[in-house]
Amino acid sequence: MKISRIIKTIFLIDFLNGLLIAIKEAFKSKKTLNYPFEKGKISPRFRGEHALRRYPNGEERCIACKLCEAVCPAQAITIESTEREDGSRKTTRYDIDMLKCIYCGLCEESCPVDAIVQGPNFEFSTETREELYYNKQKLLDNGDRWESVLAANIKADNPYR
Amino acid sequence: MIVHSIFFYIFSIIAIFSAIMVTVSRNTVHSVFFLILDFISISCLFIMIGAEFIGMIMLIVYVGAVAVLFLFVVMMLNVSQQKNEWLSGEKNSNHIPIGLLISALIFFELIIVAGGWKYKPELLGSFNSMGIDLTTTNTHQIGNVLYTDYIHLFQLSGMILLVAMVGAIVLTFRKREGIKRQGYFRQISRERKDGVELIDVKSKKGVKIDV
Amino acid sequence: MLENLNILFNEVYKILLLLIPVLVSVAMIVWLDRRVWAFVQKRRGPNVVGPFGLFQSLADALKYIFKEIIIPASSNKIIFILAPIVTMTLALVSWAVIPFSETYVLADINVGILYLFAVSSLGVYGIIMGGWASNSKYPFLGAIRSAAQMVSYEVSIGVIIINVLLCVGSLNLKDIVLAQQDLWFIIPLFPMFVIFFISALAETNRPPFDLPEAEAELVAGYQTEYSGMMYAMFWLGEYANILLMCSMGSILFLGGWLSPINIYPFTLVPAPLWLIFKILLLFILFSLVKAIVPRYRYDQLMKLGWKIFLPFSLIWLILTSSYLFYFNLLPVN
Repeated sequence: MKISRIIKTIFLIDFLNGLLIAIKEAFKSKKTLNYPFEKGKISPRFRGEHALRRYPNGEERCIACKLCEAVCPAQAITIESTEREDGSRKTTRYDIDMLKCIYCGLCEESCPVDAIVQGPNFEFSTETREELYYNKQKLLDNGDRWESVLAANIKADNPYR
Repeated sequence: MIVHSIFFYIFSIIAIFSAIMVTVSRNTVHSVFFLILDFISISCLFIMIGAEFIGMIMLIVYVGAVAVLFLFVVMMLNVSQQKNEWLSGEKNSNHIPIGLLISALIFFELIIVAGGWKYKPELLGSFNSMGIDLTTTNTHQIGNVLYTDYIHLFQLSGMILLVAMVGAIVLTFRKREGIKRQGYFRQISRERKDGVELIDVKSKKGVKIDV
Repeated sequence: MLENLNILFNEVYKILLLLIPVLVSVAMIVWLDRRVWAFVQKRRGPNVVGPFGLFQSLADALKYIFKEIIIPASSNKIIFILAPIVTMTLALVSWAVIPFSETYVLADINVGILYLFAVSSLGVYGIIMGGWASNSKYPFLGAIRSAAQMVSYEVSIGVIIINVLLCVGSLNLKDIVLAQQDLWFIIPLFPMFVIFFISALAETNRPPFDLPEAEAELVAGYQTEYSGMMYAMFWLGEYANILLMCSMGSILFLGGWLSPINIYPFTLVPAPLWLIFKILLLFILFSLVKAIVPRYRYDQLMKLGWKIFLPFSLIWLILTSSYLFYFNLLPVN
């Protein structure tokens, strides 16, 4: 046993060194974001809250092919469809149970017309469970609200697909 | 004065009630909690008669240390089984005569102790002649008596406690062969250079790690 | 009768004047603790509610009040409810004897330091009761750990207190402070101060000795089954105890309300502020230690208490008393 080691142990030298480092570090700049006021950058591929998009003329993109319903591993999506007067097939019901959803992004991948997408929004906590059972109207509203961002994201990610 | 006696009666009623509950209560852990309540109210009574040192020491020693050990033991036991045996089994009757005998003995001892003062009136009178100075606190007075007149007895009782402690450790301590013990000081005294070695590895030569 | 009532109201008024600042400062101290901890780890800590996040603890308290109190079905209900009450009462009761200056003290009793010691040794019951009454594994293990830990470290704290008392010659906290007018006890008894500080960490279940609530092993120790206001009371009691230990340390070693140098600019600061300043200093040290030190293993903790601190403080006790005896410095009255 070295004498220097014994002295270090008795006089808590290592502890005091740690304390000094801690005090020094405490006054350095912070490494975390000041979250609700600052936010980190989000990738265009970020899989957040769902949205149903429309064509620029206001027509719904969704053609009720039910690929997303089929591929959904959590079976969170429920779709019912009917034939509209003009002969096109449209959804009458498009529900996503956001509590079941695992945010895997398979619905977005499977969609042939880029109708269902996952946007950059991840701050949609609610006070009741019921508010998280999204219906078609809510999803379309989301799409209208985030359309510019969604289109930009899809465009940005396009070269890599 | 009225407030004083109100407090006295409150504390003594709590003390008596909890003392009874210690023996009556079915749950052993509850008994220990009542014992603690008893200790606390008795130390309050001590403080009320001006013996604050004894009251505090009572709290520290009995409540803070002894009762914790009681609780430890009682909480570890599986009492519910034993209790059923005691209360319903055949052995039930064996305990009552012994219990009565012991409680009678303690009762008579208490009478002798309490009566002893009455039969020795000169002792009560001698308090004044002992020259107790009422201006100093009772902590000082206890210290003055304990460390002058009774120093040998005091030291002796300390020694007895020490011997008891050493004896208990010696009796229970056994050195087991063939187990690996951790050397704390060796562990914490390991420095970086004892454990880490930086080696320049030549390519395609490798390095022998286990020397 | 009216006179008695008058005395009663006077006392209640004095108690409230002491208790409310203590409770508020406990809330503030929780904020400070989290903030210091965050700063050492280069985080921001609570900074949203109020200026610098000062009211975070009040917001938390509000949240706790509105949360449901869950009492487990198989618990021992009376003791389960009693446990946090006992913890908090004992933590607050001991503030009665802390002297904030020569005149600001609620109860100036002869055996003040013994009273503090007795009440802090009772503090273990809140934890044992909570752990046992929860009727669940983790709380029980946590309670047993904490009981053994607190009882062991009380022994070394007791011996350290005796060291100080040898230099003072009185159990009164005011006398202890006044005896340090020429020289704070931290200078002659520095090793004892270090041991007192470490033992205080163990006594209040703070890291690195927070084994009773070691979240990696015991979920939350004795608090596992508690929720809502009952949990908040445990938490308030814990922090009130930490503050108490800090004030005990500053009274025993750092000269209580005395200013460090008895010359002009320092004497302007009122006496209670000095005590509060010293308490805060010790508390910041407490939270820095929490931020930098990893948790002890239980056998190491016991070994440190019984095999290092106790013998060392006993040897120092003998040294102190022989020094005082040889140079005829013993305070005899």
